[in-house]
Amino acid sequence: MRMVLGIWMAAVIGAAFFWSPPLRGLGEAGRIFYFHVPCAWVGTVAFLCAAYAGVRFLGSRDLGWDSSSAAAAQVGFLFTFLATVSGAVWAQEAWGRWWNWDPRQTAILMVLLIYGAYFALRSSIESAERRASISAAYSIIAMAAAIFLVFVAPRLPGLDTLHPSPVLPGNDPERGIEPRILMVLLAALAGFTGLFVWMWRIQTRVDRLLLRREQNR
Amino acid sequence: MTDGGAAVTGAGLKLQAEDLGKRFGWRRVFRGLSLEAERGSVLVVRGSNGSGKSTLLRILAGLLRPTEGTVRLETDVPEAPPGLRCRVALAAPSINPYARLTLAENIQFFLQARGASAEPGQARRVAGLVGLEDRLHEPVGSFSSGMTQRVRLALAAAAEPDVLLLDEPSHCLDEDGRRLVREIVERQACRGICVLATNDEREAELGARHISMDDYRA
Amino acid sequence: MFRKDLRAELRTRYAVSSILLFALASVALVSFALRGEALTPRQHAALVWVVVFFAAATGLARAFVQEADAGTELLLRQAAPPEAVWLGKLAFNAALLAAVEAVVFPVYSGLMYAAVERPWELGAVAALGAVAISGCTTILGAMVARARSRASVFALTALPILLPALLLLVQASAPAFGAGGAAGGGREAAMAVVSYTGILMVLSWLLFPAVWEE
Repeated sequence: MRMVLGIWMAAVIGAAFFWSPPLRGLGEAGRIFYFHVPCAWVGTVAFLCAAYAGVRFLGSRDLGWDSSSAAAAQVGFLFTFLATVSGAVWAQEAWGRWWNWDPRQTAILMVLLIYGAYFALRSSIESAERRASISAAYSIIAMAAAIFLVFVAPRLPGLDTLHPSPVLPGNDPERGIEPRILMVLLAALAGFTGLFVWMWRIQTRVDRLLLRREQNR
Repeated sequence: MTDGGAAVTGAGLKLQAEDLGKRFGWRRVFRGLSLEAERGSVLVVRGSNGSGKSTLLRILAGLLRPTEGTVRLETDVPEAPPGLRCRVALAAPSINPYARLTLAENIQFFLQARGASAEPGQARRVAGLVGLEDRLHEPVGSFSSGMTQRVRLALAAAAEPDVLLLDEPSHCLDEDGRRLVREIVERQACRGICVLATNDEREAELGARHISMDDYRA
Repeated sequence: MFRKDLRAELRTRYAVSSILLFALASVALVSFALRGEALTPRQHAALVWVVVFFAAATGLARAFVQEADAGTELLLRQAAPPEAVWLGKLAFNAALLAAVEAVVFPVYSGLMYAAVERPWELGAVAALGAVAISGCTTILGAMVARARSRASVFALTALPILLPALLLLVQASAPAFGAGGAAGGGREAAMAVVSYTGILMVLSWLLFPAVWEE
């Protein structure tokens, strides 16, 4: 499993650099696109996973699900952070400024804030069971808030987005997305998702072990 | 909608706990505790400090989830409301009445929230149960510790629960107060079940059956 | 439930006065800092709601923190079903916030020379805001009541949840401060606030028992 993932990712990276044509208007630096978009994608999906695990916990009261939720959040936080940073780098390259108050940038910052609040909440509660219930509840509520923001913000009047729209730039706008770009992007998405799942599994195991050690002391 | 125990004299009532266990994080308090009580029983729970008496009472009251095991209250009143909350009441030193409200307001709030009727004379009657009628309109925050304990007992008893749980009922009480406790326990025994947690010898005499928490130490 | 909290509060007026002081201090600070500078209606709207947000962050957690501290929590849990507790606390928070807004908005427009062109509309949006903010954060109050460093965790967790609502509220109140453009934009934003609050309130209602019970 790890082998497959490793080879896949290597192929994706290679393709991103050598096989795909440069993105129009952004030049070579635009290749960061293959990194940035999947990171953002994974960061959001990760939180959905954390919320899902939270729901499962509330149903079963099994602390294992809580470990899973926390693990997803930790991994997701990492990816979201990377997405924010890579987005800023891209913004700097493409438009000359790190931060633009573009709705999408703000949205990802808000997701980062949610993660931060989630971890702060977790670390402030001592009892394992209570911590689990409350984290689960918060993750569900925050998820609803995030979904709302991500889909509603771009529609607020008076706010244009600097994110290229359509989001996937092709070399020839009339013909739609250049197939190579699309392929590499999809492959990158798949690869990053795989990476996420792998890391999530490991982190869950770590969290579960920590929990058990704490309980057996 | 809600019934007091009084309306159902003679009907079956059974409190059943099976294989209860509770653990707080890594600290296990007790395990494997089972008990059964029927209408008219007064159960006394004894145990050294920290052995889990209060924890057990909270679990029986439905205020704490056990780590293992189940608690069930059976009655054969068809329209019995679901859940333990409405049929059980707990009075414990850690449970305080609202200091900024008067005694009357505390009583009215408690009864109304539980769905019982609250005629004007009700609060006076309840206060009378514990000898505090003349303090009806004073904020509870100004009461002494003994009086506050009486308030706790009054609230729990006023709710007319099927199962009355008392955690160290004579805590802070004088002789007069102890007499009141005895009266409350006896009254409860007629209508339902009473469970007492205590380390006090005299209190322990109030009940026929005894459970010792030390038997269920993990 | 609401009545009980209300009565207790009226007796000491602690929460109201502390929030009010804080809010007024913020307004004063803002007006000193921006001494008479002319701001666009949207900027006024944004500032006002920022003040309200911070006031809420400071004061709304009290509803539950107080129960935990005074040891009355278990009494409450025996008395009322979770849904009633949530609703009661929510109503109390909303009323509290509305009362604070009723003072802050006029003071703000006075100190900042912010012309309010449509006072009734602003009042309606403010009321909506009070309900929205309380609706979304009451459950958070319950979550942090038994945690350490409660106040900061409450503010931290409330911010992301409230952000969409606050942005929309600013949008909705800008016309009342005189922003040009169709009133429709403001109304749209207000509708969005309603739907957002609705969703979060339903979720809070469903999740509250899990948070409140042990």
